[in-house]
Amino acid sequence: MNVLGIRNLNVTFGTEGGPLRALRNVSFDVPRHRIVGVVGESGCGKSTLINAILGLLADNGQVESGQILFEERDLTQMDSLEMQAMRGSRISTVFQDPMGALNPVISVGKQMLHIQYRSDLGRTEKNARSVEMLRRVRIPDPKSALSRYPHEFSGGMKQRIAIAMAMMMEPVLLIADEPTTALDATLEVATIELLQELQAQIGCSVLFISHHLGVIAELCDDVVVMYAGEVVERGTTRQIFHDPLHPYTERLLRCDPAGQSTRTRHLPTIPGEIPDLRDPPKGCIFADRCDRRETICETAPPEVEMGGHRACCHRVKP
Amino acid sequence: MILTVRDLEVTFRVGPWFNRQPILAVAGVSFDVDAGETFALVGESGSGKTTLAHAINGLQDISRGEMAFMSQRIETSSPGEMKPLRRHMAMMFQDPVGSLSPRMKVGDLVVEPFRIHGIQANLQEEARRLLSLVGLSGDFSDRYPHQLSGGQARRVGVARAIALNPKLIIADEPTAGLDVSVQGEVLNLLNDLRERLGLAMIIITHNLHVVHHVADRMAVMYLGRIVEAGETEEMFRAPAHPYTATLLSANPEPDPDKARNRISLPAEVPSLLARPPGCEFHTRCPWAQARCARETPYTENGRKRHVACHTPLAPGARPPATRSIQ
Ligand SMILES: Nc1ncnc2c1ncn2[C@@H]1O[C@H](COP(=O)(O)OP(=O)(O)O)[C@@H](O)[C@H]1O
Ligand SMILES: Nc1ncnc2c1ncn2[C@@H]1O[C@H](COP(=O)(O)OP(=O)(O)O)[C@@H](O)[C@H]1O
Ligand code: SF4
Ligand SMILES: [Mg+2]
Ligand SMILES: [Mg+2]
Repeated sequence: MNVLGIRNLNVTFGTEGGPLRALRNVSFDVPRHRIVGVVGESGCGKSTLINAILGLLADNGQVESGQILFEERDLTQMDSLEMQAMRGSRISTVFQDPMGALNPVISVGKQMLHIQYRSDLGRTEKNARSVEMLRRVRIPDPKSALSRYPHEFSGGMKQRIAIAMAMMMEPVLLIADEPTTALDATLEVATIELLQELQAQIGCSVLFISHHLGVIAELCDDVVVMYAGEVVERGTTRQIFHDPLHPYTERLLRCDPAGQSTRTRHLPTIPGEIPDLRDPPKGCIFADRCDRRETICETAPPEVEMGGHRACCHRVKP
Repeated sequence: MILTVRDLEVTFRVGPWFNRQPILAVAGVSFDVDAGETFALVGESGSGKTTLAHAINGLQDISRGEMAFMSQRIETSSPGEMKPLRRHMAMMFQDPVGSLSPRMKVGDLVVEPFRIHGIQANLQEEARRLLSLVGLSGDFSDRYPHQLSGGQARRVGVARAIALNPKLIIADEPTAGLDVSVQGEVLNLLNDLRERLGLAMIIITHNLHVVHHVADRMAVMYLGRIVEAGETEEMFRAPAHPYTATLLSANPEPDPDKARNRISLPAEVPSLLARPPGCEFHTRCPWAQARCARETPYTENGRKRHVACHTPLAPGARPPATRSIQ
């Protein structure tokens, strides 16, 4: 059973130099109770994907075609009021900057009351729930935290409060866009562990966006690898990290200095740049940087599938 | 020895005007850097890395301590005496685009150090030479900083840093925010130049994986102090300070089946306004004992491995199930 199904999604931005095709035929699923990671380098379309799901694309952006199925309903067909209700209850979000979710001039307790407006509980019960949630995200002295303002907390604590608020709604789907990128390593791992724990308790699904391979490997059940607006590979986390099929995934993993246990003074790189998405190549999107390229790569590659592990590459043989 | 730093302190005054309080952002730091070596300063945000770099570079007044660069004392020299030395020490700032004047073109930016130091040169030729050294084509001369990608902006920062043939480059978070493939390019470039030009480098970062590959020696900072320093490989193999061990264990690796053996830290980083007594790490240290809350651990300074802890860890030590103090 899938909570979210993205089907052949195409998103375009109008720009001075012509339409920019930020997402091209993107398809993947977020099954119930699973944590799915989307990984890729900057500009590959991670934020565009999330904004399309949430109905928050910039004014010059448009879903050209495709479906975003959430609990069997197509979000691309919903009007903005329906979308807003969905965002408030069934889907919640955590972003890189926790202040996007926190109002600086309202106390934490009041904000946590506000997000429970749908609940029939009395004020005292609601506050008790808030305290319980803050305790679960390990905010010290959670009772007194209710009367404090966001600026009185450190960056790591603010992010944990934002997570507490997102989880309070007991969403079906939590979307997290680089939530740990601004945090130091010790806080980053604490936040990952927290997300894992809360996900298990609440039983929601998580769509987790990051460019950090280590974090994805540790947190996620499934992984979607994106390059320049396309899904080039997807599979379980083990399939992706232990047995990458697509040359881009393979190169990306090799580039991560964390992956090399022996010390090297010369780190692997991927020479070249992302193609101009106003005029993407006709064939394989990675071709001009790929060291396994052949003539056939000038045509669009097929999607090859092996035991649920899929990659879009001519050189991958089933 | 190209740089020596002894007992360096930097004080800031924080809080509203009616209640200014001093904080020690750098609280007695000592270390040396040899000619041609790469020295890494690591630590979490707020540990004082940038402040320390600015102090060495003369961009920040110090409240105590001694520094010598190429055998000349920094803190007691007049600006006039320092000027000829300054050109041998270059800085790459933390924010690559923000530190470049937005209205200047790349071709002018890379030769700005010549103007600042009043050094005569054929600037056009120098600009071409510097851009090619950092792997940017001549076309980049006419671009503005906002037209550069993250990796290109770093390259411009590197070109500026090497413009006057320095002996030491201080690079503050040179790869923060870069994708892994671009991060590799920037680090390889710095490393190449270090070898070709015989530079020493201080690299400031919170990315330990990077440190492992590029640094000869490293120092770990906590609340403005160095808690452990030594050879990089040595420290990765056998971290002796509980904080170093924690940082190393908190390093997500791209392998879902890797045994994680993570050391988790209770509590948040203390405020610089309320430094804990005794060992300043004792409020979070899994190994802390009663003595740690009272006595400051002795530290040795200088080139040798040193650890500011009463009970340095044996290789592979695991934390006790419960802390022996609360
Ligand atoms: N509002 C916009 N107008 C034009 N182009 C955009 C807009 N938003 C994003 N893009 C472009 O779409 C592509 C994907 O961007 P984004 O989704 O932000 O990537 P990521 O989050 O993976 O870094 C990039 O080429 C980016 O420049
Ligand atoms: N100009 C300043 N005024 C007051 N406090 C400062 C100033 N610059 C830095 N600090 C404080 O000094 C400490 C060390 O900061 P910094 O050197 O930037 O750390 P790092 O580079 O390791 O993140 C922090 O607590 C920071 O808030
Ligand atoms: S001295 Fe004590 S408190 Fe400090 S790090 Fe060592 S064991 Fe921990
Ligand atoms: Mg993004
Ligand atoms: Mg800094």
